[in-house]
Amino acid sequence: MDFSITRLFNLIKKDFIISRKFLLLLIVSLVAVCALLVFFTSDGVPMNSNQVPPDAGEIVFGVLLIIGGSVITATIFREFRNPPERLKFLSLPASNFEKVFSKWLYTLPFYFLVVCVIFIVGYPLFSSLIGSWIDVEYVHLQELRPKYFGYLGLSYFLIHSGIFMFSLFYNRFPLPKIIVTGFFLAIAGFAVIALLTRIIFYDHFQGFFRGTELMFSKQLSNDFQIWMEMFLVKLPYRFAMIGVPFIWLISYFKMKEKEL
Amino acid sequence: MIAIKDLYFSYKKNQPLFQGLDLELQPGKIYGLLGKNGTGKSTLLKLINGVLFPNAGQVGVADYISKDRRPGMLEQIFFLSEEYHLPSLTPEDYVKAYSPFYPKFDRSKFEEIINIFEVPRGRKLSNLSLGQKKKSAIAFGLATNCKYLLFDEPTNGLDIPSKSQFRKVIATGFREDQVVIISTHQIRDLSNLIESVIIIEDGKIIFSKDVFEVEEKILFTKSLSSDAKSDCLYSEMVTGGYVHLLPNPEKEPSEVELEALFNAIIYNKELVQKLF
Repeated sequence: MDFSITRLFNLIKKDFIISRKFLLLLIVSLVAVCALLVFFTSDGVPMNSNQVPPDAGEIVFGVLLIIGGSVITATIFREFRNPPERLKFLSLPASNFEKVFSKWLYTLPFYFLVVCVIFIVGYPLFSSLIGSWIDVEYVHLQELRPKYFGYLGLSYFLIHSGIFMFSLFYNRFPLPKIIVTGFFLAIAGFAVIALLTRIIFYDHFQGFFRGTELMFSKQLSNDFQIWMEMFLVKLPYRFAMIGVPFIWLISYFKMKEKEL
Repeated sequence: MIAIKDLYFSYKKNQPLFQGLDLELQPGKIYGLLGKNGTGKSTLLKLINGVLFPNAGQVGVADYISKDRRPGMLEQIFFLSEEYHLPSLTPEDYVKAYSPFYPKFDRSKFEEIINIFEVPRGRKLSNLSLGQKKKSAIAFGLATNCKYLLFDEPTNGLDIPSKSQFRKVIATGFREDQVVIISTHQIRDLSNLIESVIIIEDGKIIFSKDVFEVEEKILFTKSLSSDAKSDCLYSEMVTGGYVHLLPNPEKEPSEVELEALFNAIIYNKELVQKLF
């Protein structure tokens, strides 16, 4: 695997020169979306109160990070959309690893940092402006719940890996194709979970349908039940540590075998 | 050196394009890659560049296997395909963006060729005419000073003065350590430039000889009449008469007509090949 910091820097510089207008437009769009989201979350103010619920900040950050990040990640290999651009990108003197790594950098750490900066600057600014305009009170930035922001960061980390991999698989119209793929994968995933649930909680089912409240089977030992609960809580973290690097590896090999 | 060994390639199953193709290209020559439509000239260039992978066999460039697309190999190859992409940048920005990938890039050479080709400076490449875009791409390619220059139909879209400028620029800038492969249908545009002729037909190289060798073995004569000698290998009508290809045991000098040679090999392969 070839790696050179100079070539990586050259790739980033090239992308910056080619996409500087797009980058500017992206940042302006993210700021505008941040303002709109802050405004729309004021809709959740309860009756006889002017206090916006505390999850407003999480919604704003979550949409910017996860929805925005997913769209950008899905379309990050824009060079694959037609053969001449594909040829230019594949024959550019940089290694397959450097090419994948540069795109990974843009969509994960760089994008995360940009969203954090926009949120940290934009949320207090827009919440105070919009709050005074429509007479509502937003939760202050310092009072937002960091735990939920951690969950959002983890969710983006997990979702990003899958979208990033599929963005290498689809040359044309990657975004709709990834949405359809995600939809089918979700259905398949739910089917597997439903099957497992049907097996594990078999004494709570009558035919295909649930008869009573779901509880672990009386047949399962206490130890297993505790282990299972812990497993489910830790599953996203374990997937982040093992599954995500594995998906990155698949992405690299997909890039390596990419042809015109 | 470019070495292709026992190459098999197909886009679709049961439709092989190359079946056991072998080819070796030495530095210091300008090769003309000729063949009918669909014989795989562009595909061969893409396989050399590593953007297509062989089904079997190997394509080697210098000490690299092309399908690995190692940076060390890619920085020695410049491939100008028939359909190419130029981003919405001025020539200056294009050079800023792409030249750092080519260690031997010569900015003054780029400027010089751009001036020769009279490409407008301030305008974005994407807004230029087809010919001007091609000239910019050629100028960049030649300025990279890559050892391996692959051109697919480089004169398509060029106006008449630009075609001769292209020949001049290639001929003057050519170095002995370089391999230039030009795939073309427009042989007349490049006949003075090509030093070695490679002809592909039915998935194989059916002819690969240096032009001076062709000149030694085949005599190209012109006449007003279609009547040819009994040992004539091939005749065809050209502007102002006929060109005849004859065996050349006396090694008489004559100007090689690449188009007639190509046709002779395609239509009278055995007879021509017997001479070599």
